[in-house]
Amino acid sequence: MTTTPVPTRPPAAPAPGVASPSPRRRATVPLRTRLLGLPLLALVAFLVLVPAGFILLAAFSSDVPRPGSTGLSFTFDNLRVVAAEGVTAAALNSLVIAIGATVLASLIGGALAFAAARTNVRARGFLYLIGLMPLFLPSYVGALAWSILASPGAGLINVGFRDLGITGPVVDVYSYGGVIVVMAMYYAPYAFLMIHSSMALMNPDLEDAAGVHGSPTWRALRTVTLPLSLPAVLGSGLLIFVLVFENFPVSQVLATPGGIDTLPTFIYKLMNTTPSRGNEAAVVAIALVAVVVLVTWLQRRFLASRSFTTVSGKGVKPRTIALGRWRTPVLLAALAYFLLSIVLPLLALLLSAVRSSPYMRSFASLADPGAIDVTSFAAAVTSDGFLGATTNSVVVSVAAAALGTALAFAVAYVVYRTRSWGKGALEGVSMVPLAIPHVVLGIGLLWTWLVMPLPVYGTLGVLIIGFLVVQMPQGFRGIASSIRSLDRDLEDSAVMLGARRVRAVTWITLPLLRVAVLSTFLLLLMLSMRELTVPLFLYTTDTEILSIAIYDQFENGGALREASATALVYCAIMFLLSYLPRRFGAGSGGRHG
Amino acid sequence: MKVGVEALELVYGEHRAVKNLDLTISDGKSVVLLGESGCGKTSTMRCIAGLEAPSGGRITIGDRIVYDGARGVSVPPFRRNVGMVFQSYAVWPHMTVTDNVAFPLRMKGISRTESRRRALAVLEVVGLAHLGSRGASLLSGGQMQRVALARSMAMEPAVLLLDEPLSNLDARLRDELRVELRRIQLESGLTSLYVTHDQQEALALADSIAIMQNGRITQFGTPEEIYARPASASIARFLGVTNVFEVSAVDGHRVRLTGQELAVDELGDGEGPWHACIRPEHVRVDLTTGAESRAVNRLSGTVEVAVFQGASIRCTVRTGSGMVLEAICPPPPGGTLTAGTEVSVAIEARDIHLLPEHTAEHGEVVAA
Repeated sequence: MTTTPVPTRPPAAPAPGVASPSPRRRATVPLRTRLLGLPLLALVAFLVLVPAGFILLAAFSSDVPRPGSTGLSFTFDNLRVVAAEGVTAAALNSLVIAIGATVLASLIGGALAFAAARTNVRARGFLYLIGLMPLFLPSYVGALAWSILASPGAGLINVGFRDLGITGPVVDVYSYGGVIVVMAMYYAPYAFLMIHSSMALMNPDLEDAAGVHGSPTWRALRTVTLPLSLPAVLGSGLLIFVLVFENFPVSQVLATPGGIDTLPTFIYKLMNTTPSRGNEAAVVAIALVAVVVLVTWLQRRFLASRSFTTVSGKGVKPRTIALGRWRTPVLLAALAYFLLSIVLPLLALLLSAVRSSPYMRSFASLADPGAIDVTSFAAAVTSDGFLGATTNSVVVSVAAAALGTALAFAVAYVVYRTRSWGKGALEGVSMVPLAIPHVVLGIGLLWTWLVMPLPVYGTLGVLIIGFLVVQMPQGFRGIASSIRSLDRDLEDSAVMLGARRVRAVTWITLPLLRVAVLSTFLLLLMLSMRELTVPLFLYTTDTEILSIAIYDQFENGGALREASATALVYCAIMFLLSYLPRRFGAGSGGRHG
Repeated sequence: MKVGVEALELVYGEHRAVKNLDLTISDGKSVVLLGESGCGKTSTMRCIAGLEAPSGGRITIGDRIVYDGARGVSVPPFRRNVGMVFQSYAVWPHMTVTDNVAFPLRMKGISRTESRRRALAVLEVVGLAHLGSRGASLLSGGQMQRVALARSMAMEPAVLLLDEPLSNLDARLRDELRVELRRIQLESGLTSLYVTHDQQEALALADSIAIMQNGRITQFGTPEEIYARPASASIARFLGVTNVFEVSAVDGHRVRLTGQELAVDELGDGEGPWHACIRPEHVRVDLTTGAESRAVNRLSGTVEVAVFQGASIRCTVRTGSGMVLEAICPPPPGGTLTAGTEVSVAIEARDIHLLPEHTAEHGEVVAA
């Protein structure tokens, strides 16, 4: 026998101070590996924590950060704003709207999801599209369209009723009910997607087992299916609550004209009064962050427990439930939602884009000669403002998406594939923007880049940085989930076969993750295109982007036609960008305003 | 090339995965690390590969020190020239079979055409030359296994590491590839280290087996030695010895178990306490209770469960004294064993081994 048996040594006597290896000794990971994540942590922390820090600083200071001064003069005076006019009312309004919209959106999304996933409703595939489509329409475009449709004075619906002889505003979207319904319509897709996937992936054996043990179909639904999708319902509900609670654009377009303040619009108002009351805005912002953090934490707990929906990897085909004579009525109900969320808003935008006069007393007046003028489209699309904004949007969004994807890959790789110091902190800091409402983040970024001695403010650069920060969590999650699901042996084997680590990453890991990388890029591109709140604080006249241009034209009145035309073109772009990532299998998983 | 591991330590936080481990693999030989999951065998292998950073000790490949904790030497994995077949195979699905196998040659700076030619030659050895241009994601499990093996062999490694190479295959394919792996290893003369928890695989593939328990090697020997003479009752149990009884007293060459006395040939060395270990194959079961048998230990009992396995019957017998024995025996002539059958049981004295629960090397568990 040529293999020499080596008698193992007796267990090392625990003698401290002796050179024998002690169990306390740490693994000797090379210092280079340990340090790998630190520059990245520094960069991410700088991008995210400095804006957050400025908000905190401003809340307890008598002056806001401005060039040459970080506003360091400690005071508790700002806290008085909490007791002052309107804050409590705004907080209550936010709460009422968020709860109302969450309940309504969950009902719409849940019912649609159940019908599309588990019943034999007519046109089931179309029902799935109906559930998804409002996601492609940025919620503030929906809000603008609804203000055209249902404002108490000149709203098209009210005009129509007046034509029929029914006077007085029949519908008024500038109200609690209006804001709640519009928010619910555009956030229902989140509930739809999450509940649909939990219902579609549910192993039918679980229900069949209930049937075998003597439970009738509807009873099995109630005792097995519903409890199993409860985590999805609760998880999506909390997500929607946060999104509505911190939503600025819809509140600004619909609630503000009705004299209803929400926390985000209240903050915006404080920022935009002369002189600006930024310090008090910071205090309200912190209160807003606190609520969002609490609910986000709750949401993550529910999502974490979602695993008990026992999804099996096999291609499962859930049982469908026969609706009988309800097949058509259910479809009609879904069509009503489709009409309200997509068809009517787009028609309203189309009508106001081609109408020559911004005001319309009656639908009959459309028949007047010259009332319709389709050239406005051409004019809007070829105007310098539109071309400039489009160029800016494309440049900013592509740059932000590319940089964001690269950063997300680097962060996710360090967090899940290395033994670097600070990788826990890296993951934590990357997820921080999730807990900061966009209104607040916008203010923080504004102050940060005003104060920074780098000449970034006033350029497209500051918008790119802003988007990079806002979308960090979505980018990280997109890449991280696929890095985690990629067997690390695939990369290690390349190293064993003689490739340096960097080469193994570029030859093996990156090509294997190309679908995830591409779809993350497209997701970030779409999110950048539709983001309104953060650039609202960061743009200057030279750096207007599409979302801002539309908002500006609407808010400052007078340019309704251009705004509507631009919004329609914008919707077409958004639809394309939303469709592409789905082609490549990316989830939306986003939080956007 | 020869591989030497000295006093290897691996600590994760508070957990010592590998404890003061020594192991030598002679040039051209194959050693199997055999142990239950979590015993530290894969960690040991990953330390040799360089994928895990040990906490102390020394690893040499040939004359080259690739890791030395005391001197802070740690050669990165891509410079160790160690081949590794991963449990998951890690065959890259975005490349063809040939590209997979040619990868290590390309990394050595060999030209594209030359490395393709050599890759095909290696694929010939594993019998996959005809699939060279196929995308690797279209392969079956057995084929992936061969590609992973070919890829590691193509780099002409100093040592080949195989992590549970057959565990992802179905039973029939496993038997086939076991023989195939052994043939390739013997023909190529590659120094190999396998990790497995399957004793059949270990017995088939090894020149020597190292039993690993609790982060340590507790027995080292040829497959025949290990099979015939496990060093402790815990190793015996792991190797399929299902009859293990605590010994309450030893009197000459007779040992007392619960309610039963048995004659033994050999007494264990050292102090005790002892466990009497009997392989189920060594328990003979006969139909007739009064049958003639020269065996020293004759008991009578009743079959509780019997499972027909084709060539043999596996059964559980409860003896009159309340002892429950597992037996694997040929089907008795002129009858069969079923639950309730009265039988006589015979065990030769030389087939009863007296072993301690653990070896001295087992470590903390003994103390606990």
